[in-house]
Amino acid sequence: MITLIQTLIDGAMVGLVYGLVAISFVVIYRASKIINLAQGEVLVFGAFLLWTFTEGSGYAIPLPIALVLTLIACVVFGAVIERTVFRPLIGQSAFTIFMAGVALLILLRGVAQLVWGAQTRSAPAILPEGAIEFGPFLVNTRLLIGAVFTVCLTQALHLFFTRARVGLRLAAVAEDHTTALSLGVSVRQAIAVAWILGTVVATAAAAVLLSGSILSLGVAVIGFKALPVALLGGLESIRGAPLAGLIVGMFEALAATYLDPITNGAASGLLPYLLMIAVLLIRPYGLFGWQRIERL
Amino acid sequence: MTLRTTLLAGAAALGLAATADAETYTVTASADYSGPFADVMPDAMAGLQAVVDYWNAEVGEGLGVDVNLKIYDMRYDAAEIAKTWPSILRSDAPIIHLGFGTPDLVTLMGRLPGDKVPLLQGTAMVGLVWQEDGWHFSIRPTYSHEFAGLFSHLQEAGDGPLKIAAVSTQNQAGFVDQVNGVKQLATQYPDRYTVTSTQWADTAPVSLTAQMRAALADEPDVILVGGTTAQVIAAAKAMDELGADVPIVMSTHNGLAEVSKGLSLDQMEGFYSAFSFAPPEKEDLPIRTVFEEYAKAGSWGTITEQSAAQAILALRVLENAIADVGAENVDGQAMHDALLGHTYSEESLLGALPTLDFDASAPFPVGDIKASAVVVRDGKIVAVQDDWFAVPALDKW
Repeated sequence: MITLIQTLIDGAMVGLVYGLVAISFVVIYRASKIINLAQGEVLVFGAFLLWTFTEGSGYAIPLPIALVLTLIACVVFGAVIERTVFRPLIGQSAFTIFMAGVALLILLRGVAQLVWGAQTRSAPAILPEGAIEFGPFLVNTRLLIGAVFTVCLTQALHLFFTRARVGLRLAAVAEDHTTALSLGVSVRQAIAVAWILGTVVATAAAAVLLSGSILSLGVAVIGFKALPVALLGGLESIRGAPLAGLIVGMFEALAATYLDPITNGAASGLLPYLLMIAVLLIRPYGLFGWQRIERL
Repeated sequence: MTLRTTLLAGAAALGLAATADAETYTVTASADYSGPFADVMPDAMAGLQAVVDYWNAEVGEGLGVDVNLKIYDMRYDAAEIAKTWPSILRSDAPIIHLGFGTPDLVTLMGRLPGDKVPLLQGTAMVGLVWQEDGWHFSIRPTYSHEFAGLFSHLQEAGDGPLKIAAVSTQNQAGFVDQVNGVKQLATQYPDRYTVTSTQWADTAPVSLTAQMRAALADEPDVILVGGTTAQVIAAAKAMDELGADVPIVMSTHNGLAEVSKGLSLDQMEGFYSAFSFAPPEKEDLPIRTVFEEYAKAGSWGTITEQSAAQAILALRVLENAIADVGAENVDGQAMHDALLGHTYSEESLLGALPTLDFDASAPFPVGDIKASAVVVRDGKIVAVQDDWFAVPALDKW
């Protein structure tokens, strides 16, 4: 029983990190209807910005100031992506936007290599290492803080999207661009805000994911791990992302503990995605996504 | 015209004639300046170039042969290699190609016998491509052979069978193959080795605590993490959390120097990196002296030595090919025959590699295979021992 509960705790902690990355997909999709395939690269870019202002600057910048500088850089970065890549594509076909996402992925990968180089480097230790004991159970401190952060961020973003004026505008844009425009809502501004939010959340995820570890271009693969989580939760649902992350993380952990030994490691890689496909077959809009009824 | 001017002109003419007579052969090499190994590539290519420069200056001149090294950025990408290789064949007509990693192997190995160009890898082999009569070779045996050499050393120093837990990934066939080779070792020598468990994880895992908890339950003597640097760091951090301290054994691509970017050497005390060329830190290493004298760029280290060792073997093969067919008649076939037809002593390889012997039965050195390893001791990376480890014989898996 202890093994089962410990496995579920481990899976939940990892799953909430997936959920955090998935939120960055959701905030962009909610306003722009764009599934940003380059979100993993955006995360790596954010991580490099964080590294630049902490270990890479050559100056002993205090951590709080480094975090503020990173936040400012992320805001600029998100705004630049929206302004230069996606704003000109408003009204274009989904395929055009999809291909722009692929191009952005390649571009960001190249620019990161050009600016920072390809070498592996130590990522700044933002969060404490070690583990906390809860009776017979052990919880990773970094992941626990990341999990609490994810839950708080989810609630804050939910309130932002349902209570704040700007957030409600984003929700209107998410509903329909034409309707939002007819109501006097600036679609461009809303989409820019969504991209900035998506970039900041992705960088926060990088800080949790990489704290005290290593930073390399290969980290971007987490984006593809988190995309199914976002799909499972529902691409419009902020609160769905961490919940889907919990489900995927726990299923992955259970499969790793109980099925991997008899499937030579195949189960943990496969089961979460089988689960996702099963859910999407029944609920194509995800567990908590907006159900759209189209009348012919 | 004075006598002095006449003599100088004559000497210059003779020099030009001699230069014109020198046979030039092209050796091509795969690099990865924009893929996963981009960070170490400048040093790797510096190792190749330094040895070629040394050979041209100190050996080639006497033989009337000049080697032209041409490096291609293949991006560690099979598609890039497949696209570039035909033009390399056409424009360079290389006598040998110095490969880097699995993409070169899987892309070229099928066509090399037809192209009549041998491929010599600096990276270790994998059991997946262990086949007879190929034209693909490595200066190193398989990763599993290299691990087996270190495990043999550790087992002899201990008491009873060495208990090995493995952490790997299903995402890369080569990494799965490492584990399969070590399982083969345990199957062949059950009194000496036991694989207690294999834990599968992502190449860049968020956390390995659950996997390490399961691995440590069997009280292994060593943890084998031959996959990625991120896996080694996650495994070490998970052990910190769990209060365990078991040595991790890694390879060269995720070796001690790479891991030390994410963990301090104090945290890595007792960790090993296994390979089969001389430890770069070894005292009195002639190939390091050559590098220091001829290198125009780069710094000495594991990857630099791996490439330098790859280059020196290729050039010793060229010397034998010249002896076999003459300086004007060397081609890929002559290089292939010279590689298989001669033994290459440790001394001739400038101490970089043990004495090597190849035959058509395997794409790596055969006979008494040797390996080496480095370890973190008192916060420093040092050779485990000055001599080579003997590698237990492994059947094909």
